[in-house]
Amino acid sequence: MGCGFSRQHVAKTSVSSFDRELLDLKVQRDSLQQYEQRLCDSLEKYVQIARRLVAENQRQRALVVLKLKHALQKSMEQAQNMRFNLEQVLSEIELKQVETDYLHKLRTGTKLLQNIQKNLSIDEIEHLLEETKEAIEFQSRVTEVLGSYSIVETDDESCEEELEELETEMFPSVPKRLEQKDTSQVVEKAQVKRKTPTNSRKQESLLLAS
Amino acid sequence: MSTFRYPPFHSYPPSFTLQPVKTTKEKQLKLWCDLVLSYCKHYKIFKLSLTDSANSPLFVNTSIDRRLSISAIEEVFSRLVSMGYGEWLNKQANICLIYWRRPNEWAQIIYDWVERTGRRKSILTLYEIRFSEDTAEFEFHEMDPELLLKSLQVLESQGKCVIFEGKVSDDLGVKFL
Repeated sequence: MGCGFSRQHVAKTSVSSFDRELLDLKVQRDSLQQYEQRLCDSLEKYVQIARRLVAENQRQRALVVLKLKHALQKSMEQAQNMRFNLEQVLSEIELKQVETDYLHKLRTGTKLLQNIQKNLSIDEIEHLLEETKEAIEFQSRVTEVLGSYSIVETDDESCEEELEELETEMFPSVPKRLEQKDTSQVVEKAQVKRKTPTNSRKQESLLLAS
Repeated sequence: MSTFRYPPFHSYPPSFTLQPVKTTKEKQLKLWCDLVLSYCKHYKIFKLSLTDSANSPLFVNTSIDRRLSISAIEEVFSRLVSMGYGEWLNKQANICLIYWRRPNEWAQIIYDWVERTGRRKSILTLYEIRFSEDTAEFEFHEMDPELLLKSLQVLESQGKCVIFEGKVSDDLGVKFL
């Protein structure tokens, strides 16, 4: 019991006085519906009685029964009107509830938005964007300089020659026409060619095209 | 509503006498229990009274001139209660609620309907759930009020709704959360 309110307690507190009053309205509507049902049943009974009386040739009594039935019919119409009005009121209430809720949420949302905006001004934003742009430009210049500067002197040409020799040794069928191509691409394609010997012609055309 | 088709054992005279041999009696009780459940489901009957049902076609087969005795019917009902498919409604134990669908299953059906028809956060009377024109095509239309209350109590214990009274009226309403 030390963990605070039980679920039931929380649930009970979510029923307001307004809810109870609304329930009363709905219960009234239900009573009207039940009343209508009773009237409907009585009407049917009267019709049956009238029929029987006519069959027994008791015209006068049948007439009386029919008069009763008509009076009842009027009451039924009144009850229906009342129920209709009540339903209208109930649906208006529901609409108003939705509207109020909507306005409340809108108000909260607007406040939230205003709070967030309080921390920023247009000038600040422009200044911030300028700074960011400069920072990015500086960074790309740094990368460029670092990339183009090689610390160790390497003899690229002789390395490439050696690589070609190695390739010819390992893959004698690869044409030597691929000189200035990306070396990784060449190795990849050559390996593919090895794996699928049946597609040799297709591969060759692929290699020639690249 | 279409006529209910009775299973074959209903035309078999010995079925109407509780058998002494335990294993046979067990099978017999089970057959009767299943029959009660499917009969009630078919005709949407939610409770059976011992005395009234003893004279109904459920427990009387006039064509073979056999009827199940009241004590046997009571045993069948007690068996249903012990399996969780029924509940005695009063202390004298002569009316039994028959759960051809259990309260928690009804609870789920009702809650699904509430969600689908956007009735969450709205207030409904118990009468409305049973009798409004909106619910005419649903299974809980015209269901037994006690059973409805029990099903809603299941939902309440799950925190999905609150059952309460109005300020002026005694009738119960429910608010779905």
